[in-house]
Amino acid sequence: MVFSGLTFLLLFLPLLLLLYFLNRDVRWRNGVLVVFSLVFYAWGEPIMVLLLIGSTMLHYALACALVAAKRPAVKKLWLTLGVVVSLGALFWFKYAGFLLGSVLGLSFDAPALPIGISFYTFQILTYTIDVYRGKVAVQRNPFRLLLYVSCFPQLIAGPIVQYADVERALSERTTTVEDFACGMRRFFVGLAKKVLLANICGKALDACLAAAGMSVAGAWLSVLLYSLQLYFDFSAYSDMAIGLGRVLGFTYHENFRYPFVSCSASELWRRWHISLGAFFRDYLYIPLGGSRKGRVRTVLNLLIVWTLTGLWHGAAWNFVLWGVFWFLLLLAEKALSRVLERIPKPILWFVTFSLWLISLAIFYHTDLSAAWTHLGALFGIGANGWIDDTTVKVLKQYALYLPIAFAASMPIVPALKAFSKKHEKLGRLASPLAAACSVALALVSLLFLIGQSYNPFIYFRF
Amino acid sequence: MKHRISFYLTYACILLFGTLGVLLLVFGEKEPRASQTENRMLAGFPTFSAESVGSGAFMSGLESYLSDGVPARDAIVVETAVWMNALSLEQDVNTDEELYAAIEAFSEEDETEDLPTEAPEDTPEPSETPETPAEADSETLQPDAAATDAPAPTEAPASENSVRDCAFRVTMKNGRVETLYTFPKENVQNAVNVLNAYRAVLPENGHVFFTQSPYPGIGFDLQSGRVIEWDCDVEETIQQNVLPGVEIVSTFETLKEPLRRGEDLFFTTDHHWKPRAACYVAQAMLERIGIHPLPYDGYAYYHLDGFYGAKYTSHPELKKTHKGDTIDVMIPQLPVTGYTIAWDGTEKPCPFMLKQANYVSYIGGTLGPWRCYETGVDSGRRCLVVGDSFLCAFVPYLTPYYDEVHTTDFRVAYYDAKHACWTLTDYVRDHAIDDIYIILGTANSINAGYMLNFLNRYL
Repeated sequence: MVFSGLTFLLLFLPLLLLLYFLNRDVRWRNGVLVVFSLVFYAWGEPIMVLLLIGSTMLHYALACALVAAKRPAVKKLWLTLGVVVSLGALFWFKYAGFLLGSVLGLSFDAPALPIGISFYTFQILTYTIDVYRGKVAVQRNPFRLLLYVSCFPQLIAGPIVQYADVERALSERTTTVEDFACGMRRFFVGLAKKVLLANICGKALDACLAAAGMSVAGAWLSVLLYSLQLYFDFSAYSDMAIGLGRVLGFTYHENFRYPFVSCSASELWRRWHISLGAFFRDYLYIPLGGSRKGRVRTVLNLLIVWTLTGLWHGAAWNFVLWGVFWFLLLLAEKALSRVLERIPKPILWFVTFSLWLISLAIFYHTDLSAAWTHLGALFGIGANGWIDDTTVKVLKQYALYLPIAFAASMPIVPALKAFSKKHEKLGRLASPLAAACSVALALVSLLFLIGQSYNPFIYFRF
Repeated sequence: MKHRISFYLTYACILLFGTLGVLLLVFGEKEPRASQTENRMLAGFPTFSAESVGSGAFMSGLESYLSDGVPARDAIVVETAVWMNALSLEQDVNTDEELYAAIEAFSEEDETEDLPTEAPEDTPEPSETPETPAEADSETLQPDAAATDAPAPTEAPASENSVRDCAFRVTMKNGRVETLYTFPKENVQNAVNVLNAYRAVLPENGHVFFTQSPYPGIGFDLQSGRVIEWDCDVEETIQQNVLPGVEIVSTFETLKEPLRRGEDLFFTTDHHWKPRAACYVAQAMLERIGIHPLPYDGYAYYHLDGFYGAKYTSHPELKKTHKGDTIDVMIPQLPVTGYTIAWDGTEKPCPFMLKQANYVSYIGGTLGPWRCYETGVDSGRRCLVVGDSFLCAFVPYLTPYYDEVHTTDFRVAYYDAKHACWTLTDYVRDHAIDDIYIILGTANSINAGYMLNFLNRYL
């Protein structure tokens, strides 16, 4: 099931909220939430829900055994077993086809990829690893652990919620009127971003890529559109997850902070998919030694982290290249930090954004030859002229829409919030006004979901 | 207080959503039914069984049921398209309503601006063409034979005017007959007039062919047994009323048996026919003029996997569960050279067949205003294919039989008459066209602005 589906909006969500708020008892609420979360997952993957439950129960048992073990070696053994089994399952479903087919050249029929496996595998790992580290207490109630893993707002497309962040909320949480109002507002805004911005960017991108032979302008326009689609799609899902989480009494961290204002590669990655960056930092980069073990080791650690970040997005060579591309950029940025400090910010912004767009030409095409063609076209190599008819058509068709979409990716809302805080009268009106706007957006989104229907969440495949 | 107002507003919105959901479940139309606006069967309530739940068919069926069952769906589809167009500097021609709106806007511009000044004086002025179907009659639509170099047809229509209201009906598996399209008498008459007018611009031995292709859902309904019979009388009615040399081929009839045999004729992720279907129709047309065309398997193809067409855009789950379509890209027997002809007469190379998993693989799309494919064949005949995107998969099957295959697509986004250097009449004369093929999807056909206005307008 997807948040922007009518089944979710018209049936699932109203029914869930009705039952959830029938009783204040957290056990009742947990029960309702587990049942609805499993239905939510099983709606798209009726069989694969068993894998999710099995994986959770395994980690429940391993964490209990880990805590019960007295010898550090035994503790380590249980932890290793959990990590190996979870990553093994992830590898089997997501990477076996790539390794055996693309790398080793063997004939192999890859199994169907369970939705959200990359997200929930990482989540369950944070639990077992943190129990091992003594950062969190072992969860004795298997249903609470199942709720943590399966909780539907963040189940299939993140953000990656670390167990430590919701440990307390699993047994004790409330929802105030403010939580409900702000959470639903956030959800509606996310819905609008998905339906009114991401979907339309996707439509424009399809039209742009339908050109027979890519011109220079077409190549740049298509990566710009893909960038906007990717941002609105994924940040919309995060908005909806964070909003629904708040309605249900959970606090999730932000996953995006207006990445397109970044003036450096490292800033961009502090603003884009923050929960993935945090996971790799806390559970891979730092355990590998981070930057504490000398220059060579730091470079190696960064290479490992960025190659795996690329691979996390998909089992294909283009994702590996994309990860390495960012590794090289970050490395260059570190090396040139003193020079970069002297360059005016607008130029840095322009270069950073351009590099981001170039990286998307690699990211978009799982077929490497198509990626090379696209990269070449960006710089006029093998391009079908400077501008082609299809690009002109797309530019005309989305002429007013493109600036609106780009503006919406900029931090306008925080600026408005800051402005309203300075003016007391406006401040009092801000909340109801925002609610009215978000409800209006939700209604328009509903109409678009019925009337126009471009709707796949891109991040499901990761 | 400020959060209370927010709470009530958001709560009311969720309540509204829930109420709509319950109303749809309880009072929504449970049986599938035809939508003439969208030219498809709207979803009924899906069958609930262990099998349908296990396969996910129930879930996707429920999503379609909720979407298709919303009250005033037709108005919502049109309104959202209008809102989208409000942000556009160019009309996106997706629905008839948009098309009509575009025509209206175009007509208003035309009141002060005629066709290009380069157009010869003896070509029919656009104002001579009827503005509405009701005004259409064969007299106003027949170009003056002396004004064009093409000889006028000498014979009268084959029979007395028997134009009537027509329909495309489907018989559901429970025996119920649903009308999917109705073709009002005046629209059928307009089609007859248009086709006769096109015949009139051709040489004496020329032919005009016409077909309208259904969309994939209709084909799949027949294949799955959800629909057990098709019945369409419009092609036969038009054939009875057109001039000799105009050949109407019913795609419905042509594809019916192959579909029943389980042949793959439509993309599952796209709204177009597969080249195999286009080939069947091309064969039926070519046979009418005594050519024995190659069967589909007589050509060589690249078979490319992973094609996700436009239909994927309306089914969120598709890409997760669907491996995409296989697209057959024909390998031409002789090298074919293609070029577009711009408004100022300049020629620019364009592809014929592209080895890529995209519908634009076929002839590179229809952006024009005109395209020409030199086939390397020496048959002494040239043809022009007028239509919408359905012509793309069709054109390759004409190339072995014509020296040149020309194409044009009169939809607003693809053809701009203000900049076109020829009217169709000029083009036919200047390029010595012998035959014209009019290939349209049903949404652009007899009842749509394409047939009602554009085909006349650019004559």
